[in-house]
Amino acid sequence: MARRNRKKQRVNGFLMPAPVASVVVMLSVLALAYIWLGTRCESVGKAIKVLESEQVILKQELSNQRGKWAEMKSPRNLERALAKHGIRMTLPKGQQLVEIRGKFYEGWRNTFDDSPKYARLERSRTHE
Amino acid sequence: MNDRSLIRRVVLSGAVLVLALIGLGGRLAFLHLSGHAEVHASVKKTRHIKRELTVRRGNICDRGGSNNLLALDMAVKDVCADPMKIVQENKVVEVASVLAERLDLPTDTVAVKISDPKRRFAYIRRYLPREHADELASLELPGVFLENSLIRFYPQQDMLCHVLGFVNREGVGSAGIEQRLNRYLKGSPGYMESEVNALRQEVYLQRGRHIPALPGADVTLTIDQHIQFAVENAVDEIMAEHSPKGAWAIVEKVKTGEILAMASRPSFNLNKFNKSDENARMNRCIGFVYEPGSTFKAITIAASLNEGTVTRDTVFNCEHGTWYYGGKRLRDFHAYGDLTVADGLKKSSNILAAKVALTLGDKRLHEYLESFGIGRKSGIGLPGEEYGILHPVRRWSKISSTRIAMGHGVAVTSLQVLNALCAIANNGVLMKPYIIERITGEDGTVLSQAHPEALGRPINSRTAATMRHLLYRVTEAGGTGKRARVPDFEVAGKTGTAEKPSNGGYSGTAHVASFVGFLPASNPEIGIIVVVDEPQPLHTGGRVAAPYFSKIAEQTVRYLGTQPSKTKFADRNLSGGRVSLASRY
Repeated sequence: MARRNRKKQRVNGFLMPAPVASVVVMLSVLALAYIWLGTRCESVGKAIKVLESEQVILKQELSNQRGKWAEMKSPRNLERALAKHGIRMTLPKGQQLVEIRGKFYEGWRNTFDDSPKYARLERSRTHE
Repeated sequence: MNDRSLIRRVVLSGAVLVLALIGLGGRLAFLHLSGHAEVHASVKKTRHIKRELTVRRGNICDRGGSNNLLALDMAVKDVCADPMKIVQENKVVEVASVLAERLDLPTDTVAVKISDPKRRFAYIRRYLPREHADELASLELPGVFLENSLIRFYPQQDMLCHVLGFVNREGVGSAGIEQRLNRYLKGSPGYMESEVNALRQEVYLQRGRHIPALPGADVTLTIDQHIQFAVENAVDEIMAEHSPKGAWAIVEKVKTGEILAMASRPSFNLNKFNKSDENARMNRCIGFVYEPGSTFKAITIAASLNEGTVTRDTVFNCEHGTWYYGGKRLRDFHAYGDLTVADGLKKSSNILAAKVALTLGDKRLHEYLESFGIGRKSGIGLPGEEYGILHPVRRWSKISSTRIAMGHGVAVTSLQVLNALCAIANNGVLMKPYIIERITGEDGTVLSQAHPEALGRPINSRTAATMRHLLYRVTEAGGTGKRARVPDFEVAGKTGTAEKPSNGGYSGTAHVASFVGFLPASNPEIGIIVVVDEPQPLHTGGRVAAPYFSKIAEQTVRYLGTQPSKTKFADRNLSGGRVSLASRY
């Protein structure tokens, strides 16, 4: 039986040399990476733009809400709202101030400033 | 079909395709590589955008900080239209009626704006709140679109209107703090250069120059909105009760010069400033110059005490109400005989004040008035502040000092008078009044921080202590200012009732009534002035201004938690019994 000559086996058609193929593959990879990066940059850019506009809208919304809040809690509006419910509030008189002294209170007082603090409790006449 | 025919067709199709591609390629190469600058420029111009980025104006808040906003920018929308598009779509009537109904505008006005086929832009309504704008946008009216805009908003409306001022439609501060600090508040608009795609959307990757907008700095005032509210209520009550031409009041911290409240009437709504008149816009606290009347006696007597030309117990003959000097008559409201300086101040004797001034001499009196800040701006930093009128000594006549001593022949602003009284309260140290506490950048950097600043010391502490007691006696029984008393507190002050100049003389019917004072009298913390221009029918400072001084003072000390002094004048005998009959005048 004759021995089969493996070295003489031939492939039909054009065989691209390995270095050239490597270069082509590398270029293809680079091109794909470039395209992918470009697309990615574009999508990130779009996301940034969306976030930018959201930020502007949120800032404006915050500003509007702060304005409304300031209007609602202005002294005039507060007084009007209290009056609507038949409530009238006045600041306490000197005799209605009760000074609190104590260990805890002293520590707390020293933390902030030297001025004395007063709890504002209104005493009814029957308790005096 | 045989093979040759097939091959021919394929070759022909391929040739056509190749030719087409060559043509397109050639055109592309021509467009890109040719030197048609105008083509390039046209394309570039179409795609290139330059945009100024709008900037938020800084906030203004009271001494409580950003929680108590007094002025801020709010985002609103401008309703705009493309008349050409609306006309082309033949929707003028429909769009006009909907817009008119939603925006509460006359239909014909809207129709006129949107019916010009040559125009591509028209404002229908500016500064529409966003909620309403969103409703309008949901209707998707043809040719109608919304643009973002900012509007200055004042949550407290007319409160503190003269101090805050306003911003005109161009965004420029035009009065008050808005004008004074415009360069800080306005910020710096940003700038952006970029390119857009076929849909006119910005391509982020093509963004060139981008300078973000720098928001305006925030301003913190020394004003306390709660005290301000009390003062505003008080001046409103004065306007209702006495029907004056104007009424105003200031609250100042004696030891620092901080202005806690400043209110003036008539006033105006800051959010509708363009509907107010010039008279309402005037800040009378610093812009109204008037003859102060008897409140000035406190300054005259303080100067004389400081110079030692009189003591509190020096006795003057008050001529039983009528005194001729320099050929002119001077009268007291009530007739008095002999009065000590202390009693003369308590009873507000014109003749006594005039005689005290004569002991001082013109030059020294003028020097003292200047050192108390009369005749010059206080430096509070608000636009519209007046100097007042204090003529140089060389222009004084023989009787000038006798009239200036009782607050005639000299004109002041109420802030000058208050500050002078606060100097007496502050051991003789004249503080510079200030209303701007701090300016803070957006990142929290403090750009400017105000500190109490002493302008001088017109009188020494001993004179100041004596004056505090003398002024305290004014609010005691028998004094002209007893209606200024505050429960639990000792109040020191001086009433003023000045006839207004008229036709070269003085009007018998038009007066300026005022009360200026401080409390607690022995250890002052708060100085207050209340001035009423032409009150009716009552016209004296003691009856018109003093009760409102009391009202403002009571609420202020309660709010601030100020405690009455433990050492009271009432418990001390300060008269000393040193009545000097030898020094009778």
